[in-house]
Amino acid sequence: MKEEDNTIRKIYSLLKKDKDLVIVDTIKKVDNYYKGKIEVNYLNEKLSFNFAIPNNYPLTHPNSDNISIIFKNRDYIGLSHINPDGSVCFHPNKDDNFDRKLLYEIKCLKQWIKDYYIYKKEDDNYSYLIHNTESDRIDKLYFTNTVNNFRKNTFGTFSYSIFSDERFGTKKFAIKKLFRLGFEDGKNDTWSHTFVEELKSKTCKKGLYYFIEEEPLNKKNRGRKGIENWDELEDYISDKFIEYLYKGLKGEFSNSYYHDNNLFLIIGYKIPNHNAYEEHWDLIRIPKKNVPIEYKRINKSEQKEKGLKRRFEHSIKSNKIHWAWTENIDYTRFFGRGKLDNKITASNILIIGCGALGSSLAEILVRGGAENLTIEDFDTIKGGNLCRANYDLDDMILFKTNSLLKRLQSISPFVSLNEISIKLNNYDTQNVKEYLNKNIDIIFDCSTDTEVTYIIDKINFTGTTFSLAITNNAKSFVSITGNKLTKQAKTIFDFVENEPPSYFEGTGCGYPTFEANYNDINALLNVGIKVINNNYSKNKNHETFIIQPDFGDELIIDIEEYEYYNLNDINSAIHISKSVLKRIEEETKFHYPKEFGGVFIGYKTDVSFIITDILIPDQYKNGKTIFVRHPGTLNQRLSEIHNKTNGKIQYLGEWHSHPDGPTNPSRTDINAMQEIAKDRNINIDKPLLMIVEIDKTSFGKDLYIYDNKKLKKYE
Amino acid sequence: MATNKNEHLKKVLDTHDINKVEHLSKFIEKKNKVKDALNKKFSDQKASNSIDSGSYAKNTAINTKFDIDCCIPFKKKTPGNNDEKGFESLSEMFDEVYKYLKNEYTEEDNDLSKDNVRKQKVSIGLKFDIDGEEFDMDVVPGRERPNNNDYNDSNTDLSLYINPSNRSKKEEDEGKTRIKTNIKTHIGLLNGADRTHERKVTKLLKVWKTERKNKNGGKLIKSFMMELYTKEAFDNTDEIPSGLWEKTKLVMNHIIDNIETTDLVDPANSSNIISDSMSDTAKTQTKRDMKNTLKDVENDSDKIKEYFPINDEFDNEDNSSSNSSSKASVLSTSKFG
Repeated sequence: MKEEDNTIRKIYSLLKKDKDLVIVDTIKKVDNYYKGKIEVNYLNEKLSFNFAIPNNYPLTHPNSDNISIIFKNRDYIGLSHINPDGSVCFHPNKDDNFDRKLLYEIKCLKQWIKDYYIYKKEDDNYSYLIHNTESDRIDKLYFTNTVNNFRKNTFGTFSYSIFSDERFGTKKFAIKKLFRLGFEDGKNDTWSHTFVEELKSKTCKKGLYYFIEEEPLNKKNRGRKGIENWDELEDYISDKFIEYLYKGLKGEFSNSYYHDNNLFLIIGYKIPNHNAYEEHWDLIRIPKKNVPIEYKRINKSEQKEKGLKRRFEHSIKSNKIHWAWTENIDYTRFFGRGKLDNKITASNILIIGCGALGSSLAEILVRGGAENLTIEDFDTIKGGNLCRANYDLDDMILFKTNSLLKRLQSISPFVSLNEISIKLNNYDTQNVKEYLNKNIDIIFDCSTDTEVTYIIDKINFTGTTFSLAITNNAKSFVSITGNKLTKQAKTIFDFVENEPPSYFEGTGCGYPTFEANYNDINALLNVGIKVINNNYSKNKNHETFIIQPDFGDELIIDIEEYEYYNLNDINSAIHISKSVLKRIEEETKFHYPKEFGGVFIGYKTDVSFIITDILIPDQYKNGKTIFVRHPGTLNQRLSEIHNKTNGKIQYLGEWHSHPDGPTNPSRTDINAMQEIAKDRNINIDKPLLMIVEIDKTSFGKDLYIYDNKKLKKYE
Repeated sequence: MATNKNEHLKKVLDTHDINKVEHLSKFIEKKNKVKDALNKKFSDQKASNSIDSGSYAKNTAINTKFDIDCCIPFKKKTPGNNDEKGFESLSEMFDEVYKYLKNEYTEEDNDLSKDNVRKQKVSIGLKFDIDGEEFDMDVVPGRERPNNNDYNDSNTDLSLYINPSNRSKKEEDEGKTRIKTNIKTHIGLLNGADRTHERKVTKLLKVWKTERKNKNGGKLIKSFMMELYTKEAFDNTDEIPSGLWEKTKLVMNHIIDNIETTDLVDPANSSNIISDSMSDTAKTQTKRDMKNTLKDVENDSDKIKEYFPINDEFDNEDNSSSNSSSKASVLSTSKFG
């Protein structure tokens, strides 16, 4: 008791410190609050507030979003930063000093009075009108940004689908989710084709719309308060509509206008968005049995006086409006918090293979805003392949494509989905070619089936292909893109540490599969998609890349992109790492205008090369047209590398720059390469040569192989 | 480097924000005091309490040029009817308000002297000195119409008195002594969420106008006309363009196309031709200035800074955080053992 009295006294003395405040009621402790009433005289305006200070002040309310002292006055509802219950909405800084915090909150209150009551400051962003929505049920209409350009006072019908109608909990709380399909004399909502079909397969009804153009505000209120009663709505709607509504409710509207004996009316108005204005719609529920319009006969004299054509009038009753809910989930909002690049989301995408990679990739794309997705797989879901893929127990036994389709459809109303449940090789290659070139822009091949890349290579696909795979134990993630996918795959998979699949289902028999858990797979898949998306958004070329987690002494996830060059004459190809190219550019620019160079190391099988690194010589002589590379410590380093990688990584060739000059090899260059090719101490008999053209601003290059006494150029 | 026009215009709006005016609260306080005094003095004759007017009430004020005014609507007294309250004639209404402010109000307010209460065209101008800060305020007396007690929420038309000595040549020729208008309609012209972008453009045009006046002087288009033109331009366009600059261009082009040729009508009274209050020379001058502005800025985006200047007074660019230093460290030789 004593402590409470002390606190009350403390509050009194603090409030008295402010000359603009007058304490109107005695401060009392009621339940968990110290309650009272104050009048604030500020800038010749008089405002009053009921206040409630939580009993554990200066701590804030538990379980709430930084709510401290509540200052309330229902008369101010409608002003900026006033909550629907009339309390001022601000989030004061936290403090553990009672006196300081209380004085600070009074200051905040006065700041609110100044900014929002007196100055009527406009916030940058529009805040939606808050209506007194019904508390014993939720009816919610979802819609998209339609641009109807309705004129003020246009009205008519719209159609909607009853997406779900459920009751929750012991009290059987009713929640209805309605999706608008479109306006009868206007535009349709922009859901995807597949989603519209789904909506149309459910019960669909008609509703009414009326475009009032300006917000439905209570005009007498100082702020922006929404109207609450039907007679306030009368200011905004035409007599013609009132008559139409009345007649309709009294019998002219058929059953298709009613759901559970309710007619839904949407009120439309313009609201500002960042750039211009958009149509916003609020929802009103009109129970069939409770028509808010009256019909009155009037006598002849009154008719003459009012100049009316007929002897009756419709008038609107003062019934409370049953406001319901709406939400604009237009594509731009649905994916407003983040999506993949438009070049991905607007493309027609095909995913081949819906296993561990494909099924997760499909969800990433759909959640990223993809609008057009076709998925292909011939397989069904078994208990064994569920855990690391995007399926659940209900999906077992069923076709992967079918289950995945359902899951994806339940995530986004903006994706159009197709499924193909047969292997690609089932079709005639010519048909495959025509179909893919006509209908698909991007292929994600997650099949780990070489026949898929055979087919894609063969048909000269006009779009972009990403052939994705994860090696055993998720040691690497590979994305192969460009031309000659099969050939690239072979070299890359030989190079990357790729143990053969080891996991046998049950007691064996059947094909072994690669091992990797759900997290390992998705950790790499997510990074891979991030790389691809990054290249799209920066308009960079897509290259084959490898992601390798290397958790040894240091924790590294290495991402390496490779440029790919071909020499068709001798069926040779080079993958050269982009970070190697970057280093070469830096080194040669540094030495400009003198020549500079070094050697290549990497992996080779036959005449397929992967250049993974360069060695910089520590003994050399260079001038404007000359570069002499002495062995120096190079041999020592080559030896170390040979030991460390068990001979896998070896010397592959040479590189040097021609400052300001062309990338054509000089006679000296050719001779040098000839010597290297002949040298028995050098393991490679067809060494590579890269000549770099460099000046202050640009960097160009050409790759060659010394074969058959000639330097042949790669394309 | 080319100026990002939209970013610059956003900065123009931010630095011209009315809420940045240092003594704004004092001015509002004063305005409220005048309103209270008028409401009290004319409690019987008024048709409603005084209403806020001027660019501040319209939400189109900029901190370099703003009007915090008020209007007091009076009842109309039918001649000969002594039971009714109000004023019979407009000149009487105007004079009573003037006399009150000059003789009585100045007695109770130290910030206003009698000399600084002046008759203007349709209002009484008050020039306050509040602790050294000058504050100008207009009081507009208006009278209800058509008859006694007709003023209500749905009928806020008013008759204003035109002071004979402040008339334009045309008005003098016509012998005009009164004007029918509706202050509330004017205040609400660009009000509401559905005119958010229009308000921004109006403010930018005011910045442009103020700058032109500072540079070249002369008579330019009235702010109220710019507001009407802005509303028209937005209403007439099929698609509202993206970005502040494009929107401003839209309105300026609309003004260029219409100012010399088309009448601009008062939304509160279709017989009032607002554009008649502007001389032909002023119209031509405005059109020429706007054309030049558009041409110069389209050719060289940096020019936008000249035509739409930032208010330096409220520009706080240097956001240097105390944690970072201004340049890198420069080392010398250090010896370790």
